[in-house]
Amino acid sequence: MSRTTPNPATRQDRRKLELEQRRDQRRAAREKAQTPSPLRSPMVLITGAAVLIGLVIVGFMLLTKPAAPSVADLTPPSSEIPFDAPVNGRTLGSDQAKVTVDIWSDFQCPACMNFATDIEPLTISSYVVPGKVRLVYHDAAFQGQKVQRPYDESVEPAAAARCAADQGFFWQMHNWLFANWNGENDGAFRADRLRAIATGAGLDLARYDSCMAVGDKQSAVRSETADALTAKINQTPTIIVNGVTYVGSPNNFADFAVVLDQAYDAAP
Amino acid sequence: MITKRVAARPLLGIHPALILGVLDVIGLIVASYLSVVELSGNVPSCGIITGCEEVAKSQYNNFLGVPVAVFGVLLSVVLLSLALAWWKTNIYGLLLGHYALSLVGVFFDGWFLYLQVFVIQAVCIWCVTYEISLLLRFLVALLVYLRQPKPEMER
Repeated sequence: MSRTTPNPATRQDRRKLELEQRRDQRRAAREKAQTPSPLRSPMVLITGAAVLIGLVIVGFMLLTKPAAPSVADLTPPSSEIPFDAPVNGRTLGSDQAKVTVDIWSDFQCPACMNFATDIEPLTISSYVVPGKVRLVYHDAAFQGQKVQRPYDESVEPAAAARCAADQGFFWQMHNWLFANWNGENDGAFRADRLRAIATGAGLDLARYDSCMAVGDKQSAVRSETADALTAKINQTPTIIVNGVTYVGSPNNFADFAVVLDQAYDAAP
Repeated sequence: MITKRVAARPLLGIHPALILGVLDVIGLIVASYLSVVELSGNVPSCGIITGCEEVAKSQYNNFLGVPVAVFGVLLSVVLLSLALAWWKTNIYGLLLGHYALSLVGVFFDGWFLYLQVFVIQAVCIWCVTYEISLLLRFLVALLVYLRQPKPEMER
C-alpha cells in the first residue's frame, strides 16, 4: 500500500502545497536545532573533564618520576661505629656477651633500613659497648630476585659489605649502605654508586675493586640467602635473640630493649 | 540543570547519599591512618601480609613532597561533604560532583596500583583497601546517576 500525493488541480493549489511543505521543513529544522545533543549533556561533559584531569595528574606524576640517585648524591650515616666496640668481620661486640643478636637482613629492605638507622645505633651504645650484646649480621638478600636482572641490587651491596669486612670496615659500610638506601631495584646500589659508597666508608678502593671482581663474595651472599630460606627465614629483617626469632623490625628501641633485657636476665 | 533539586531514588531502601557517605568514611579512616603513620615517620603495619613497609618507603609514595595518603584524606573529606550535602539538599549537581571527583581518584589509584604491582613489586593492603573503596564510590555514584530521575534539560 503506498501513499500518493494528491495531484493539485490548479496553480493556486500547487502554490499552497509548496508553502505547506516549506513550513514543515522549517519546523523540522527548528526542532532539530532545539534538541540538545547527547554530547552536551552535563554527565558527558563532567565525565570528559574528570578523565582529562585524571590523565593530567597521572601524566604529571610520570614526568616528575624521581630519577635514580647520582654518584655525587651521597648521604653520610647519622651514627658512627664506636671505637670501643669490638669488631670481628660481620660481628660487632664482645665474644663474652651474654646475648647474641643474629640479624638476617637485606640492604635493599626498607624495614631493615629502619632497624639499622633507628634501633641499631642505640642498641650499640646501650648494649654492645657495655659488653652485654653481640650483633651478628647475616645476608638474606631477597629483594633483588623480584626483578630477575643480571645485576642484583641486593646481592651486590651485600658482597660489597663482605669486601669491606675483609678490610675491617663491615659496620662502616653497613651504615653507609643503609644511609644511602633509596628504593628497591632502582639504581641506588648500582656498581658506580656502590664504589662511591665504599669510598665514603673509608675502604681501600683498589682492594675493593679486586674483591668485587672475583665473584666469590657474591656467591657467598647467595649461599647464605639460600641457607636463610632453608631455615624458613623468608622475611627481612628477621632478628634472632639468643635463639628466639622475631620477624620484622621492632617498632622502636624501647620495645627492643625490653627483649634484650629479658634475654640478658634469662641467660646463664 | 545541575543546581536543580531532584528527589533521590532510594537504593537498598535508603537515600543513596548515605551509601556513598559510608564508603567515604571507610576511605577517610584508611587514608587518615596511613597519613598519621607516615607523617610521624613510621611505616604502616600490614599484619601477617607483607608489602606495606616497602610501599610506604618507596619513592613513589610521595607526590610534591607529601605522602599520597594525605591526598586520599583530602579527597575523602571533599567526597563525604558532597555526599552529605546531596543527602540534605537533593541538589543534582552534588551527585555529579561526587561522581566526577571519584572518577579522578580512580585514575590516580589505578596508576598507584600499577606502581605497586609492576614497579615497587609490593602491595600495601591499606592502599588496596582505599583503592577498592574509591572504585566502589565511583561505581555506586554511576549506578545512582543511571537510576536517578533527571532534571528536565534546559532548552
